[in-house]
Amino acid sequence: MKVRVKIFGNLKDHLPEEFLNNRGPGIPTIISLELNTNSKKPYKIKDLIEHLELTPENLSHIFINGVYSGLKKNIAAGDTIALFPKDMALLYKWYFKKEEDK
Amino acid sequence: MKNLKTEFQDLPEEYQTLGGRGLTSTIISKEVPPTCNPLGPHNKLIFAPGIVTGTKAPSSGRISVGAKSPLTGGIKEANAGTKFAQMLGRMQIAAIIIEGKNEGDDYYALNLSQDNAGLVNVNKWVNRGLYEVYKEIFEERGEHVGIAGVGIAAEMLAANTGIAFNDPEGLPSRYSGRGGLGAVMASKKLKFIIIDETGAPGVTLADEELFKKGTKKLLNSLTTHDVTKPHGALNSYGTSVLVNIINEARGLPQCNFSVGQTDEAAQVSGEAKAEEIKKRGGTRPHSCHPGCVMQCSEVWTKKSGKDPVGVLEYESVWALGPNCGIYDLDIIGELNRACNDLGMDTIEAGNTIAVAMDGGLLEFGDGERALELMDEIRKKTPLGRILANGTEFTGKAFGVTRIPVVKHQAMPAYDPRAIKGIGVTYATSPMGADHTAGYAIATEIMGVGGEADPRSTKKAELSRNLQAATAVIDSTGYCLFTAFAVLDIPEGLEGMVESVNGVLGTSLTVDDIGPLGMDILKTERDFNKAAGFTKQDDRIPEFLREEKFPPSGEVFDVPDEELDSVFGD
Repeated sequence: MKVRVKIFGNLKDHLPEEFLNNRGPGIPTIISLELNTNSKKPYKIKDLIEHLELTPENLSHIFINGVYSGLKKNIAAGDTIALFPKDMALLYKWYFKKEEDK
Repeated sequence: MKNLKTEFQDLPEEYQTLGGRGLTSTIISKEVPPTCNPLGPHNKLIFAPGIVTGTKAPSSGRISVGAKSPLTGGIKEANAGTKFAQMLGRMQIAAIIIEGKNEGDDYYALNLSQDNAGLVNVNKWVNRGLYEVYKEIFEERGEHVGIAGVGIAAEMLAANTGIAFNDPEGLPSRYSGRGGLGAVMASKKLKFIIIDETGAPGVTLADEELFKKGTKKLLNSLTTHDVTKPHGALNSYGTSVLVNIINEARGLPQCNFSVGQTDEAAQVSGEAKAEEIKKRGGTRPHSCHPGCVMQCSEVWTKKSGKDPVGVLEYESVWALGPNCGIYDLDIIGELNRACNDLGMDTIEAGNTIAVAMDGGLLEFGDGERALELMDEIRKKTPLGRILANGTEFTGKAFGVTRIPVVKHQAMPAYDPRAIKGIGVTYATSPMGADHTAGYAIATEIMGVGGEADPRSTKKAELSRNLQAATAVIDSTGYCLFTAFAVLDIPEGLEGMVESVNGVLGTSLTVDDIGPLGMDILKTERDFNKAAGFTKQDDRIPEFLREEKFPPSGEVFDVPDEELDSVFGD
């Protein structure tokens, strides 16, 4: 499935070069990804993080289509996922609970 | 001010443990009649540095300015980070109280040094932009003085007027901006306060050991936490780091609160601004006062790298930018310069332009025309006078019904439909719509551990705790952003309390923060009640309850009973 990933701040410095080849211009770094999914198992944020060779420790806020999400949140085709680095943990975490799927 | 007299008074015993907002609000509640005309002789304007301000405590150069507000009609405290605050602290001046009103046509400056105070005629600095005037004051009085001043907008006694403090470069860019305090100062015919700390004794420490121990803990937490440490987000991108975060959360109000997320917003984000500053040779990072370890500030300049504006904060960038459909940092920078020069609050000014756009005075996105409107204010034309009176006044003048205000004060950069917890704080803060009232302190500080579920409308407890903790931080003199670190690092919070005890000789604990904050809020709410406020004033404008906010489609649906239960009085 195809998804769009927006990478903010210095998080792009942690990404392997191969993911940045098809990035768009400007801020944030936006990359389109084709993800290999197994139809039996939902594809979750944590799978995406692993695919991007990142760790949860690199991250603070995660949004799927604008919804504040946790690592277990499912990703669907066409979703836009926004990833913020650890040092951008401002404000939002106090007001919102992370959405998760089982 | 009536007879141009000044005097020094010893700090009364009952005020000995107060500072900052706790002190300004207490003095106002005791000495200002709640029903008085905010621009009349009975209002008082109070300047008070925080409790630890002037010491070596990190990130503590804050000042509170308070009075009855001509914008809200209630009590007001507006806070700024500036060397001016630290100088007052070192001079052992707990508060400057400006009272009475001069009935003449002349304007005055208060010259204040360690042993002398006097008022001098400054008509030569009237009807002129503050950038030019601050330069002249420094040339005339020396680089070492500190300045608080009001601009052209305040000379019209307009309700959107702040008090400008000098930044480290001497620019009028550090504001106690909100609530029209500039007009209160100008109504008394006071234009500037110029202080000279030569010979200042410094802050007396009741327990130096404890103070050192506490500040060391706090410093450690600030320099290790990801948000506040050197090269952390605040240091790298400034407060505008929030543009992308809040936009991504579909909560960045754009085109007068009509849409919450756009692709264009990234063009004015903290990341974009930091890159541009690097290219054109501004300064980033930078501190608003000496001794700040977070250094979230900056100096924004024109493309040439010349003509510094000062800092472009998140709220300012948002108000003058995306909320007006403007996504150009250079236009935002010039609008911010105009606000600083004229002596206006950027949040109120941006909202004013946005409602004027909604009312058809100009198109959304028309930055050039927005800059021309600033000249209307400079020339004191009838249109300029309308605009300088702020968002609600302008909205009414142009037949707009979508006016984002609470208690007549315009909302900051978080839409209450997307971030309901902040909406509750906008509604119930004694200050009117104010983000700092519940900015960053979590339930954890208060030992409540309340859940913050985005769909839940149960926000009263969260908001109450946030407001109480903020009131305490605003009294200590610490910057509110220290909260990011001390929340996650308990020793940091302990250290903060110990540093306050080290100055005052008190034995406060972390558990005292909640009750102390509630005391300050009660003082402020009681003043507002006596001034005529009821629970009907603790409300969010109707359009935010009824207009679905694209793209999320949310409305503000927190019931009135929940708003009333924040303070339950």
